[in-house]
Amino acid sequence: MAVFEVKNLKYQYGKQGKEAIRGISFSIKEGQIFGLLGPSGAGKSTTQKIMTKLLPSYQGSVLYQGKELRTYGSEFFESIGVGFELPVHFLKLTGLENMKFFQNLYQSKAAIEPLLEKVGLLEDKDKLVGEYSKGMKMRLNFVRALLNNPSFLFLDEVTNGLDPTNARILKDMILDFKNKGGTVLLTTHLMGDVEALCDQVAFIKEGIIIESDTPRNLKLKYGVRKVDVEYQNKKALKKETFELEGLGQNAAFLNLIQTKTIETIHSGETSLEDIFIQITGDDLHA
Amino acid sequence: MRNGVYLLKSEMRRLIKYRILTISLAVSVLWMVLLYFLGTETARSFVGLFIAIDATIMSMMMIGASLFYERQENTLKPLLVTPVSVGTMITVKVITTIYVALQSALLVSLFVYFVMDINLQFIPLILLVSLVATVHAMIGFLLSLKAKDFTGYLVAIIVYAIFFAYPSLFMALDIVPTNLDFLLVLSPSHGAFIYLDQIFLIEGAYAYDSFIFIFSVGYLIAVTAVLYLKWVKPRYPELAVRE
Repeated sequence: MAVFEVKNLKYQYGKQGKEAIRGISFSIKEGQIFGLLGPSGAGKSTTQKIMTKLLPSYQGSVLYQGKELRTYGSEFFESIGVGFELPVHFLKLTGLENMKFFQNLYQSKAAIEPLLEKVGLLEDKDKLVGEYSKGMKMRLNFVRALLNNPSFLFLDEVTNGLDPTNARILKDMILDFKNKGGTVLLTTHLMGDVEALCDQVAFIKEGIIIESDTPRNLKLKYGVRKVDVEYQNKKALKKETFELEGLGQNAAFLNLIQTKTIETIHSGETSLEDIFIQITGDDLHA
Repeated sequence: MRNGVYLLKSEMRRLIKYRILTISLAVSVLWMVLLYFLGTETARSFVGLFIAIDATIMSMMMIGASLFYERQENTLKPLLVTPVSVGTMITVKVITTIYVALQSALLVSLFVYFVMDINLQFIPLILLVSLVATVHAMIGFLLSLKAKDFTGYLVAIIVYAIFFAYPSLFMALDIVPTNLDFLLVLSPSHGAFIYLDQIFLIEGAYAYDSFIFIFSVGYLIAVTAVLYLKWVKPRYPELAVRE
């Protein structure tokens, strides 16, 4: 069942403003991690703002649990958690005070301290957030999103500014959330996060979805069907490439792996980063 | 309702934590010292004007400071994705603005009443300060929506004061002839300066049932309602989401 069903969504900033979203459609199924990917200014954040009711004057239809988003009241916010791209805390309150402030606005309440412990902030809970590093603030952002035991999580660049260890902890927590039945919309340009987390992705550029599929299908679609083999030959490293089709009957390949010392074998499937660049025409590191 | 009360308590705690109440108290003390040295007769002419400045310009400053500071901390946006309604968020900010204006007005008034033996009518004072602070909080919201940053907001307040507050202040001080007050009849700050001034000037019963007074109060209520319904409430999310 689709938790969110977005149909022909359009959004324009101001009457004369730029049309940021130009008729996009997609659905997010229950228990799925859906990645919305695209270069800066593509419309990812605008789409998320519409879906979190921050921008109410959209055109088209956004169904949440089968009901138009516009018709929801406060009960909608009881069921969602939002992890913003930038830190969203009162700097002169402690980490724990910040979490208690937001949590008391909800009916359902998660245990705060275990969440802080999971993200490595328990020891710093009584420090003013103004004294936190950016990474600590981002981890606190993530805890804030989980305070009300949501069933749907919106996460915007959730691992931005985190070291690999803490990024891994958050990614594990997202997978744990999914495994317990939660659904996630992940907005990011970090393809490592997408590869690790997403069941389905949509590439958005200039307000239009230009490709949508599972990461695996995209890799198959955009990848090259070949195998690269690196092997030792008379103390020199050599490389040969074989077609993936009929590989099991390819005599040269079979001879190679039987007679030579193989160093590496790689299939020619492409990375999501390459697909991103190929589809959007934008370099992620530019 | 439960969320509104909780949000109000939290907002009051933040006023203390961010030292806004302390600054407001310091301004009140400054007024008291100044009034004391002016002497009873001169103080009687100025005390209402000092309170009017607090209820008008300071109320606008407080709303702007709160909004821009919270926008800088990015704490307006996450509140919009909680079950708290926009109306509740605005109401809480207005109530805290009224509280700060009343705290200042009552401290100064009690000081002149007990220390300087200046008579005044407390009930009209409380009602007028609350109304004036409310309408100026709404004007503060409106200017915040228009201003790009806090500097722009301060410029907007100065421009507002030049056109709507100073002329009334000068009229109350008899610098501008009172027969020109028809020019200021639509200024939301005019009533504040004229009526708050008179609370301290007239001893005993004052004709608060006069047509012009009732019209002024009605006008301030109407301005508050129009600003709230037409601009502040519909556009508050835009202010919060703007980055």
